[in-house]
Amino acid sequence: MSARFLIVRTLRALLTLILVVTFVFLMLRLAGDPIKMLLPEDTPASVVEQYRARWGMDAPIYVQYIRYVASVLHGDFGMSFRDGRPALQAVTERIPATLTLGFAGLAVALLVGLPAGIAAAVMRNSIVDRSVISFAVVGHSVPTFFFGILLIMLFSMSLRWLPSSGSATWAHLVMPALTIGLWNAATLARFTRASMLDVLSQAYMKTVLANGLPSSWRILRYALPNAAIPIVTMLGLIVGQLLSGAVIVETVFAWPGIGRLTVTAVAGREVAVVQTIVFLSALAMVMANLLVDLIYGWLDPRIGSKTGGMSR
Amino acid sequence: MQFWLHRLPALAGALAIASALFGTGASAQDRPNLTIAVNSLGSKMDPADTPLATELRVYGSVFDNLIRRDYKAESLDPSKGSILVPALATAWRRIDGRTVELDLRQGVKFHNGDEFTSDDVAFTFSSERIFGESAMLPSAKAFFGCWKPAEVVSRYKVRILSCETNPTIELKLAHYSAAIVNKRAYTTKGQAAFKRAPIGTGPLKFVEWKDGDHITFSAFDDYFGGRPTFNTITFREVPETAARVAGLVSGEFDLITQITPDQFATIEATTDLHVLPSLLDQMQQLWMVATEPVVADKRVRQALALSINRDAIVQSIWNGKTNVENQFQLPALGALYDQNRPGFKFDPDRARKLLKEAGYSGAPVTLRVLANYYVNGETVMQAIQAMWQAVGINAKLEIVENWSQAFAPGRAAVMGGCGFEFAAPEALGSCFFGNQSLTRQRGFPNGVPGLDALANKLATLDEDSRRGTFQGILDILSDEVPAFPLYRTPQFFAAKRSILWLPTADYRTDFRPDNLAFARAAN
Repeated sequence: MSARFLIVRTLRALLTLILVVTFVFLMLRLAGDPIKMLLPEDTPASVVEQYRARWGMDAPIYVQYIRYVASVLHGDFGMSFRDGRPALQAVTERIPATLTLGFAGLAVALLVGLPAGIAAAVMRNSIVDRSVISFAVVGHSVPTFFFGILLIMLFSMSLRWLPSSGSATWAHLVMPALTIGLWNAATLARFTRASMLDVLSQAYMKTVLANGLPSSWRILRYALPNAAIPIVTMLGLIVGQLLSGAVIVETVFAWPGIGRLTVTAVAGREVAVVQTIVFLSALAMVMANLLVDLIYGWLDPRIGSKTGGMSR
Repeated sequence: MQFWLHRLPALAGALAIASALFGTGASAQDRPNLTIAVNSLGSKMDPADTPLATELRVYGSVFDNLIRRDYKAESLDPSKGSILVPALATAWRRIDGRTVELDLRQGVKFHNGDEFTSDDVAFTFSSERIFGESAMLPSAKAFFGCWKPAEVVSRYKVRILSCETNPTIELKLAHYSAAIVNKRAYTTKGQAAFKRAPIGTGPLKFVEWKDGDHITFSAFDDYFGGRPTFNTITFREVPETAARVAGLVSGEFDLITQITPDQFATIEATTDLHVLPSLLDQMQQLWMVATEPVVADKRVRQALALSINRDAIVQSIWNGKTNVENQFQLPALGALYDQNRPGFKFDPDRARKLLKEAGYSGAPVTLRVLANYYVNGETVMQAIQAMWQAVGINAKLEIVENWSQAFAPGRAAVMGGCGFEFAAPEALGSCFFGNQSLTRQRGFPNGVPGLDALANKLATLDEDSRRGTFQGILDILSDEVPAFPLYRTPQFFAAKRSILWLPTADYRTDFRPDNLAFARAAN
């Protein structure tokens, strides 16, 4: 893996961050006056101006942008309009819940999606393959809010086995993790199947077969690593999304993560909070993809040794 | 269609009996821990800091006012209008048209152990907090108008002063913005910290706030109104209505807020649950933007008002569980209320006639509503669009995201709400009267003809004069139609039947001992 490969990928990640943050800064101010969202409809204009000055929203937009960038470089992401707390605190205290749900969902996705995809490819055109394809289509087509409500009706209202919402115990984690995990498992199974089928049809796999190696060894040692790149790409996107919070699932199950905070902050035009969420989410997505790029270089040394252009 | 009025007295009676039977003598261990699912916990708990309805439902019983409205007594006899009763003040009197003097209750404790005195009242209504140039909460000043900082007469006596004759001081003292805060906690911790860990005198004492998850209160056993009947109350944030209902049915929650009529059947299919409705002192309305040429003629605006079948909307969309009021007035106005006022009756023939007289030629009439803002808002507006089309109006519906978009040029009518924050005609001021009114910002840049001059005559203590003036104001509103009411805004809770509790016309939830009892242990 060359140094240039690393530098180009890192610079690209930085540029992505700057563009995202700038775009969100502008969009939040163009999509409605945050101060008017804060105050009741009938607040006199003079009071609105007082609040605008208090929060620095009376300055020209480029001045606000320069101030914002300078503050962020000093680690200050601004204050929440409504609760008066630092925006970074409001966001970071939601991270543990988001990570808990995100990794539980990822575990479900990996435990279900990978074996299902591999089994479908190895037993192509069998009942197993058709079942996995059906699961992938249905799993990805059913909206998470609908699936979540179905789980609540079954396990909370009818059977009364699991709590319907909240995050107090591990039992609260089961349904949201299943909802996120199975949705992602469906995608992962489809990608794994396609990638494995591609590899299994390669000539070198026939050589491996001719060597008389056991089938599990053939699949795990030879097929899976060669099929890994599309799967890792998919996993990078899934991990990035999970760290940004699951807006719908967190809302349905009242899970106090970043996704829910995003909804309330956007609805209330909590400028500082939204900017902080977007910054951290973009950072998570960029880091996940940077990690994926680095794993590419490790999985396939030809990628890392090439110049900065995309080779996949 | 007085849906709630025939149910509330029965519930209120049951509550009174239960309070007497199950009383307040139970030990902390015997008292239940309540879990209440709300759609949002909000982000602050300072009653004068632009509170949202969702926030008031959570911390409504943390604070007390000097005077409070007795909603239960009002529900038993609506003809009496607003009934004001002592709370932190034991008595009050008018010194003159601009000044009210109040005797404060002695021996009242705040949650931090401080004794409640006139210093706390003076701080609550101070320049530093509300009335000064650089006050902490300038938005509250807009509500109080030209009040001056409160005057301390003695340790247990204060005066509230207005700069002009003001008949509404007592009513405003019962408003959530006038709830009394603890001076020491507020000034030592600062406003930002106070609103995350408030100190009041009410039966709910703050314990813990986990953002986005729950807020827990314990019973304040030194509450001056009697020992609370609960041990703890935890408000859990559950944004999804179906999940709140599921949690109530499964027994996780004891009470839930913000349900919609389509959930009633699910709830009432479970025998130990019931729906608790209340009508807020607020009306859902349509603003008319007279600067738009298509509705510049008042006959067109009158036709739009006359072509809406409000009763059909109430029956089909609200399951009959709200009321249509006759113009912008409520029974809570007492002597000022005219129950015989005709209001805007559904009269499509007259609407067509008015449209013809005004020369309406089929130009588009655009009506806008905010997405997911008012319960059933979009559904009601779709119904109105169809009713307008039925009388020949080229109605177009636009669903928008915020108020800036709603009132951007091109709109002729916008769904809104006009609340009686206190039960007096002056409460309509922010909507219709004066230089800062919403009406001036929304279609009548010079004000509604004749309205401001008439509204100025409300500043008198002579009730007969005020009644005449108010009815005159309603005449102008009916003629000029800067806006017209649709129906009272309802709110719906659901709870276990074992919980004897009543919602009120206020957003604040009341968990005082005289409004919360248990037929048997809730958990």
